[in-house]
Amino acid sequence: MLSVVSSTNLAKSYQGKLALKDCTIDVPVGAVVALVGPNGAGKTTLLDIVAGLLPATFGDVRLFENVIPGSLESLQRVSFVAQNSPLYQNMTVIDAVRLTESLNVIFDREYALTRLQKLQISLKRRIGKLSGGQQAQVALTLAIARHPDLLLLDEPLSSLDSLARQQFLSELMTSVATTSMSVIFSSHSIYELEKVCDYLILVVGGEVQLCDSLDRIVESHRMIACAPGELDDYSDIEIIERKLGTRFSTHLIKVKNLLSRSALESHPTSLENIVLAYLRRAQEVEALNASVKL
Amino acid sequence: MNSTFHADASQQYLPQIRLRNVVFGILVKEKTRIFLMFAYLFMNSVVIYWLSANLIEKTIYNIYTNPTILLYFRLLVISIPLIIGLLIGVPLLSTEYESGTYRFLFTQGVGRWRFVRTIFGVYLVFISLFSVMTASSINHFFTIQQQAGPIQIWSFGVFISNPIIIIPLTLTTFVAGVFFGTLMQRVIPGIAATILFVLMLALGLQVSLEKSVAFFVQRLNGSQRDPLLAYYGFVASNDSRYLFRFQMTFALSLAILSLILALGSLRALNSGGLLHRKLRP
Amino acid sequence: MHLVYSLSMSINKAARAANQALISVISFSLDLQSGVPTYLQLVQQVEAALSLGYLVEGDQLPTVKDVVSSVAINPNTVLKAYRELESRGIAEGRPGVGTFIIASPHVITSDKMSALRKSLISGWLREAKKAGLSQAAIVALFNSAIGEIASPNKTSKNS
Repeated sequence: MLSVVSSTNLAKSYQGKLALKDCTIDVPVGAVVALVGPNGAGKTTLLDIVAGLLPATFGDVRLFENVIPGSLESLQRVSFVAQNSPLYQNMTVIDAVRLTESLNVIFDREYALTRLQKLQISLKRRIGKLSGGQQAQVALTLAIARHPDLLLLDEPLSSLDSLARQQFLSELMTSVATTSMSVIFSSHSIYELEKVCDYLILVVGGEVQLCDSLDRIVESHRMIACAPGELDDYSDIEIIERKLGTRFSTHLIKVKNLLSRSALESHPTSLENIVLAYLRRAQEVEALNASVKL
Repeated sequence: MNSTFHADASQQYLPQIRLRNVVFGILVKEKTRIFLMFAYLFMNSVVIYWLSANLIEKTIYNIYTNPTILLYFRLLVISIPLIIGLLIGVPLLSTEYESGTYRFLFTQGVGRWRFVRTIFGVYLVFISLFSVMTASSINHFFTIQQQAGPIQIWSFGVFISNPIIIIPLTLTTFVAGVFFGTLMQRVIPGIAATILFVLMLALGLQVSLEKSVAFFVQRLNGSQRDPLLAYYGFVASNDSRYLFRFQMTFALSLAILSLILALGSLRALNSGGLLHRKLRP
Repeated sequence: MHLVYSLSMSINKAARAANQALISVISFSLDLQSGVPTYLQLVQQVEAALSLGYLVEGDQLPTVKDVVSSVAINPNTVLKAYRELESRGIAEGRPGVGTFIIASPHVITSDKMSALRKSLISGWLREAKKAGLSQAAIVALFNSAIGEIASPNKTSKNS
């Protein structure tokens, strides 16, 4: 399986603060990845590093198996749409097209113009005068017109209303359907991501909690109701969350070995529940660390 | 410091974007700023023409001995480069950081280093053009009033006393502006730093001039107390060839300073450490 | 609580009348809240359309690109749905052309229906009632079990 992005023990610190620690990820080619986590978890930092804007403090990152982020090859094969789709507000749409065209080896002008026309975005209009949704569409169109092998999007949906969101995702999915592009997009909510993404990376507090396909995540996590001590015998189970009750506890577990799963009375649960359990766990750990420091 | 920006070996086989394409993109992006720069030039020429027509008519003195005209000239010589440095140089790259568009610009296929080199080069061409035209217009309007006849703008002997000084000064303040703007990653602090730098430069200029002027003042019988006036008086005379060495040193120092600043700002952009010190997640 | 899926479609009846191979315009709509996996909802909508007669043998299902541009879902989900339809013998993918319906509508006879109903009432439901489950508990148990069956990739658990 070829990977489009892989990192080993990636860490990034600035101004004394550790923004990312010990991140090891592996994303297969063609995946549509949801990079999920609370605000400040390190999603933007991770994307900046993959895009080549920031150097890592420690660890290794590789794109397309052997390309270094930030190198000329990676810049030509990777498109990045940062948060709030940064574009030059006083520039007209057609000038933005011309600018992008002149700064890239590959640029599909026809695609860009056709797409903008279909979206009914006037070429002569200044970008600052467009709505948030339209600006996001312009940024996305320009990024896709470069025919990247990897498309990175930082919180592309956060400032969009539901119609704009739907249109944005439609355009994105159509491009994924017609090319072999891999996509990583970050979001602080998991709503809607399930139907669009097939891979999930969960980052909390600078650490990667989950990095796997949605199917495998749902398959490898189960809910079990049993007495608290009952699970201790199983060495290949990791308890993610435990809700204590009077007679028994509900556990969310991660099963490493699928065979042992069949020995337990467990049932599957939704992706949303799994992610929330990890988020809650990380929150508890952080609260614990904070109280220890005091 | 890891080598994120180190080009990998396969780079040589990667298609390169033609220079004229990058230049075209830069012209599209910067057309407003460049237009405003030349509009400013035009406005300056109009003002200089009007002032020279009104100020100089009223005096029978040589331009170099009239304190009012000299003051105005000194102000022009320092203000035009300052305006260019602050309003064109500082915002060049710092606005990219402030507005976040560096995330767009530095992820394009052309590459950060190549883009910055090219935009710097394009601006140096335009700034040179601008400053030569400004210097020529000032020179033209002052010399038409000159009773002793026109001063050869290209004569080294009158290098310092001549509007030609605007050319190296403008280039230096531009480069300084880019350097401080890039270093601070913000426009206002960049402007503040550049003003400080330029004032120090002007002070240094004055001090070094005075030192060499003291030498020449002794050679004059001159009753002029203002060393700069005495200096200009001397310069207009035939003994000005002695100033050649000093003036060449001055020009060279400015050139070296500009080069250091230029390389410094490009290095600041590329090093990663200095650059990302202030980047917020 | 019961499974809900909505179905909406429009068909070019004139073209059908002309008996041409046509691209049937079936537009999918999804219910995010239902808990049913997306690809399965697509499969169910095709099956429902088939059993209601809106789709017949020979009709072409919309291309992945078309589905994805109207409903923003992952193209792999559409592929998965079409593969599932293939494995159920309902559709067939022809490389370079598209995916076509190959089965005639699966008609569930009323006899079969009443037999199933009878076995449900006198069998499983009676047992559940005897065990003391309330109606809500029965429905909850049923839904969680049906979720298991719906995904054929899961290894079966012994109960």
